[in-house]
Amino acid sequence: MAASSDVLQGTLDLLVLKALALAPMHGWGISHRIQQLSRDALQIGQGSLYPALYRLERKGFVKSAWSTTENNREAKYYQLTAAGRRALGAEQREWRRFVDAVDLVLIAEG
Amino acid sequence: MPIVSSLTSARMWLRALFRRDQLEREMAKEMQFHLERETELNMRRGLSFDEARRAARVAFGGVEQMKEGSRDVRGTARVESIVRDLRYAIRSLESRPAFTVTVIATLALGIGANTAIFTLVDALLLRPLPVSHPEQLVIVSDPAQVNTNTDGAPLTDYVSFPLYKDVRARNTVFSDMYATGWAGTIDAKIGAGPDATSEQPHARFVTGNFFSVLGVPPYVGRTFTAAEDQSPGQDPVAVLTYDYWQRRFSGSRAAIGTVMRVNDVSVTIVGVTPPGFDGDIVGQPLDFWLPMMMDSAIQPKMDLLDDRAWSWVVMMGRLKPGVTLEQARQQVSAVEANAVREYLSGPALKQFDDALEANPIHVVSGARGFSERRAQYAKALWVLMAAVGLVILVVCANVSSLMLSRAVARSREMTVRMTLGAGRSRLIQQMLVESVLLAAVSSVLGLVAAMWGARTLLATVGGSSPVAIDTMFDGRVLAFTAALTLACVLLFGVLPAFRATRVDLATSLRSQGRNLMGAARVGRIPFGSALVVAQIASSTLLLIGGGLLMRSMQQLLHGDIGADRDHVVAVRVRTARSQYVGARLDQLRRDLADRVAQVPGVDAAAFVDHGLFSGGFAGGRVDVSGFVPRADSERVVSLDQVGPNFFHAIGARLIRGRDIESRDVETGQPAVVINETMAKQYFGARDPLGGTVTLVDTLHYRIVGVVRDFQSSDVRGKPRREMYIAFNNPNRGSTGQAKLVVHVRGDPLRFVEPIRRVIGDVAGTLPTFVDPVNALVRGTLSQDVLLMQATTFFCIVTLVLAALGLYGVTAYSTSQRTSEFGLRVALGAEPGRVTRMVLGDGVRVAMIGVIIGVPAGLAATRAIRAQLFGVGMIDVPSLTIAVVVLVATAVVASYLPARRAAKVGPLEALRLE
Repeated sequence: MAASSDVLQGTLDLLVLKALALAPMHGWGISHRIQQLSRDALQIGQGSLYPALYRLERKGFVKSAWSTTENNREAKYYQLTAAGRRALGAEQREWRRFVDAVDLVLIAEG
Repeated sequence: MPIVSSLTSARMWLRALFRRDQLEREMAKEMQFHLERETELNMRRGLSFDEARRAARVAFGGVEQMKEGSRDVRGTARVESIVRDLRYAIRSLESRPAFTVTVIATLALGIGANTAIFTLVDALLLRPLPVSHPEQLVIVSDPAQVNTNTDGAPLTDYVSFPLYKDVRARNTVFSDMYATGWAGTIDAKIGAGPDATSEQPHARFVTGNFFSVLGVPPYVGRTFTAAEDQSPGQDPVAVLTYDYWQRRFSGSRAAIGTVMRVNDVSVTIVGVTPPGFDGDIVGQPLDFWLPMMMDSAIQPKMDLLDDRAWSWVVMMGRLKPGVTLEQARQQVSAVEANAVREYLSGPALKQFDDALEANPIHVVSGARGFSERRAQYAKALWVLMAAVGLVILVVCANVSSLMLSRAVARSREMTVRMTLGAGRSRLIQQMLVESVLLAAVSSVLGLVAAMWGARTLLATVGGSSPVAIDTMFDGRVLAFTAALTLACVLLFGVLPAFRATRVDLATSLRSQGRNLMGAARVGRIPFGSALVVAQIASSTLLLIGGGLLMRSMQQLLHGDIGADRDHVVAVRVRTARSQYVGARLDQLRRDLADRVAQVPGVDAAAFVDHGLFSGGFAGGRVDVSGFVPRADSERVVSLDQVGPNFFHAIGARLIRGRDIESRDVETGQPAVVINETMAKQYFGARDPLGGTVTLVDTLHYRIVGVVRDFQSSDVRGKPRREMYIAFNNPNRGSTGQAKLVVHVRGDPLRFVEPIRRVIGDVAGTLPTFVDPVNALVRGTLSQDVLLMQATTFFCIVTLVLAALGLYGVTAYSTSQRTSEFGLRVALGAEPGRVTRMVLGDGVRVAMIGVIIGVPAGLAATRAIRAQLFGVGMIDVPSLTIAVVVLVATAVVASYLPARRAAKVGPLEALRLE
């Protein structure tokens, strides 16, 4: 099992929103998609995933509904709202600016 | 978007709070799904089921921690913990019923007392009239009292009706002004035929624009129209108050348009005012309004509408938009002063101007309506409110010390919990929740108690003339109680919560924390004792004030008014619209007096035009031999017409000369008896006997006696110039009634029925009213009675609270000293000595309280001086009673703990260690 990296809280929200941008998904699916997309570099601790989902739901960025999976099981699906989509855009820009800034610092030191 | 999102989150928060169980189930289901998928994945990677499952669990982490984290995100954790604390508090209070009942009882008494007094204060002093824009209303009064025969009388609200007309016509600051006058009982006959009933409702004459100026719409029917009230006697209509309509006509719409007989004048009911509005006079009962111009028809005895010498109406204006009270004051003062000046000259003018300088015309806000005695009552009520406020402070301090001692008892538990990681704020929250619960329960009980108390108070004032105060709790009173409750929680809940959780973990676990309470001290006095001292001191203050009020009430109700009030019965027979007119009425008066005088136990009976406290009055201008008036006002006197033996019948004392006798009312020279004040004014050192008083320039009366001043209409009033002329001309008396005053031996109530029977024999079915004079006097004192009852009530409440406080503190300190007592007994002290010691401590604390309270009480009584009547500022009997009652309370409150202390056996005491 790959070593899990700690994910900054703000970053976690961004990752969850991004994972949901493609399609509605249940909690387990979200954690796996993030893991896949990051090629196992990021493994989301479930202890932070669900609180993050509830937090996003409270903010109105995602909404949830119970639905059946492809193999006929009840699961809670999360879906991005319009507000969530806007928040995703904003957070992405914010993240780029942050990464660029950190890069600049690192280059200068190098 | 922010609104939408905050709405979403509010909805989710509420859902989280109220559908907690469902959310928890969903959460568990979601976790379950997650674990299953993870397990499947692991199995696909080649692990066995058990291994896969275990790996999934490990990857997931602590399920409960995750759940707790999710709950935090839902934002309901705090509320859920408060709900848990509430359940805990209920359980813990249930398990200690003695503590709970004591705290709730004291708090409820304190909150109830404060709510009750606030209800009174609000109704009498604070609440604006229920009319449109009350803040625009302005009262204009006549401070100078020049044109009346009571120089310097305290009632400066009144003006004469012509003066009102002048001020109304000449001012430019008011959109309109109205005047109202004479509130009192009036004879009304309602219904027709055999079902007709006679009663004495309270009526008031108002100018036709009264309702339109106040902006009071009719609730049913109509109010007075602009066309009404233009000329005397033309508009026999009446508007009822909602209460009277409900009480007397069962709220029936059929009442509108019916006719009632008011002083035997037919008056048509045209409308009803909305509930809650009972006139512009605060604290005065009222049943209906009559147009001002009906005064001459309904009370045909004096021409009140044209006489500038009789100040009897109050006037109110409504400010024009944009005019300030100050602008109105300047203009109206000038207008009114000039209107008065036009009818004065020479010394009278100078007298008026001097008086005006000393006592400017009052132009004040009328938002809260008129109140004759508000200034007088305000201070007393505020003092009462302050004293009762002090009581709730002390109650809070008491409860606080109880909570603290309980918290200290639990300090070990607190220490353990904090050692195990419970947050201090969490523990404080838990204790505060308990305080809030106690305060909330107490305030509900207090409200109920206050409602009951206010009703009971008003009912005991009761009688024929209850004080009209709305005691239904409105928003203002509820807001007051809520604020008070919150303040209580802050006062008694916060300190113990912080104190109890401020524990030093290391030392507290070792010690028992038993002495924390003992450590709280105010100077050298233990905290608990200081509380009791404060409580006793405030009780002393209240008891002293209450004692003075009760003594003056006694004086008002039974003190000397110059007549033998306890043994006089007043009789009134209505004769209007009967066969008794002129000479026949005169004969009826004589027959009635003769027949009533023969009733066994009756000393004397005299017929009279007005008599004592009958509500009627008359007056006129006189010329007195040898006296040169400097002003017209000096000629004004009150007068009554009396039959033979009048002064004997009312038990008044003649200083000079003789009573009116039969010969005076038969033929012979007209005779008059004058009172002391009149004799002093007109004769000074000269002998008044044999002097002449000339009434309306033509009627000459010879003075045959001087009577000691007596009060005929107001117990508190200053003596006026009064004269009593022989009742020899039946046509000069008030028409339509025959009155008697009857002196009896023994309880006047026993004579009411016999007298009524005799009158029935003579006068047949004429409406007859027979009342002991003291009952009539009591009717004029209903507000005094109310204040006295309220004070008595609050004295009892504080006494109870002081006793409870003293008992609590003594019991607590006694239990703390159990081992000491045991030791003393073991070393040979007699149990009696221990009892005396504990008792002595309690009494000592009480004495300190009394020593502080007496000067404070004496200082506070200055504020209620206006209420006092016939007692000095320092009244030894009431002071002594106050001190004795308090010390007795202290003895009783300390006795139980003292007795218990004496019973402590040495072994029992040592085992406690």
